[in-house]
Amino acid sequence: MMTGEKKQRRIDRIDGRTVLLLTLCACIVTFITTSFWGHGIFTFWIFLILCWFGLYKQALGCFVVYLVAIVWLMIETKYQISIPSPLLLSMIYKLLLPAMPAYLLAKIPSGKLTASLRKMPIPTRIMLVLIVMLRFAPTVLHEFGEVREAMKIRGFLKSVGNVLRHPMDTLEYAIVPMVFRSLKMADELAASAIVRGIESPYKKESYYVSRIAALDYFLIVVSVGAAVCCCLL
Amino acid sequence: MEQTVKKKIGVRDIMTIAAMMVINFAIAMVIGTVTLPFPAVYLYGSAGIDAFIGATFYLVAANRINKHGLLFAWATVYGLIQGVMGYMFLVPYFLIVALIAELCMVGKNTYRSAVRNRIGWMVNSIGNFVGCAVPLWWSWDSYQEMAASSGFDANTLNMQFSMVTSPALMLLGIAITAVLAILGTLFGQRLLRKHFQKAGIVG
Repeated sequence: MMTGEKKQRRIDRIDGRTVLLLTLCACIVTFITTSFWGHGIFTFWIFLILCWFGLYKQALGCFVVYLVAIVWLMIETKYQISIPSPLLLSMIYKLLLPAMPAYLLAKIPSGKLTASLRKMPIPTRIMLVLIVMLRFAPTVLHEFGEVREAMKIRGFLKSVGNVLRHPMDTLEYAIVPMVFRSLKMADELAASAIVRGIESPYKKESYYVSRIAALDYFLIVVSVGAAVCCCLL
Repeated sequence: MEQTVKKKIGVRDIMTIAAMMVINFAIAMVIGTVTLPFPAVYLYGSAGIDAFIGATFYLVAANRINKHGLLFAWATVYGLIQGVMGYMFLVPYFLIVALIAELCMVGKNTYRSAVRNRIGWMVNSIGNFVGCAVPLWWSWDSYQEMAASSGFDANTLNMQFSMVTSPALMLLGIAITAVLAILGTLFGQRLLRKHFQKAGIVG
């Protein structure tokens, strides 16, 4: 297994724009291809990329779930079974492909990602919203879990019947702490970014070197080629 | 009373928008997954349910920031995410939705006005609902082929086709979305008064 430091070094070598392009290719393949084989081949390529970056556990987990969903869907369409819903299975396998490179994107340090995206023709404020959203997503999921636990302990989620009898109260008990927690984190993030000079009007330099290197060229060429082939299959 | 100022959106505002949008998208994904096995609810109701629950997060951001451009940024980021997900042709569509929604908020102090927020959010939600139909109008044949290979049954496909080709059914979907968006803003305003204004986190 790769050590954490080595894994991070490899992730630090890749440019944010390359991973963004990988995500875009994955999205295009997942929405355009009508062939299970095409979809499967591109997913396997992304699986290999994640493994190369040392994210073995996540890559394997995603790939196993992907295979189970796609095999079960094939069985369902062949034998006309409808449990679990084929739509649900289809959504799982379709969304897992873009989720894999998106996970790699979330692993890139935010400073490096900002430096890479700054070179793209996106307005700074819109770009900042996208980067912060990417950073926020895992935290929000964690916070959801915490709020759910707190609601369970206080007995607000003791039964489905209870939730269905008081849906608005349940919604209120979930939304209010989520908003408070998220705004607190947003304020802390804003303070940290301001202290580091994000509002400075001068041209910004980054601690990270942002340029498309040989590894990026290789990944871009192979991924775009694979995406085109998989869409044509 | 503080007025909607023409100042640019600052870093603190960006963080607030991003935080509220992430929660909104996480909820939208959960709603999409839960309603997917029920085609009628998925097609006609999911955008409305998103609008109902997301209204509170939008209202928190609107009342906290109170600056023009919030609804434009909200709809534009939504469109960009759709673009990254492969629906590139939806980016200009969502830019138009963003512009119309932002035009609904023209005026002083509008982001703290319950009525104007209701109108702006409703327009944005209707834009999201109609946005679901755009890919089908764009290329029905390839969509049908893709959907069939992904396990969509004939009933769902027929329902989708009749929804996007029948003006009456589209109007029904728009009406459902609009009603749920309005109810969502009413619920959100109640939470604002009851919790967030008291705590001093929104104006």
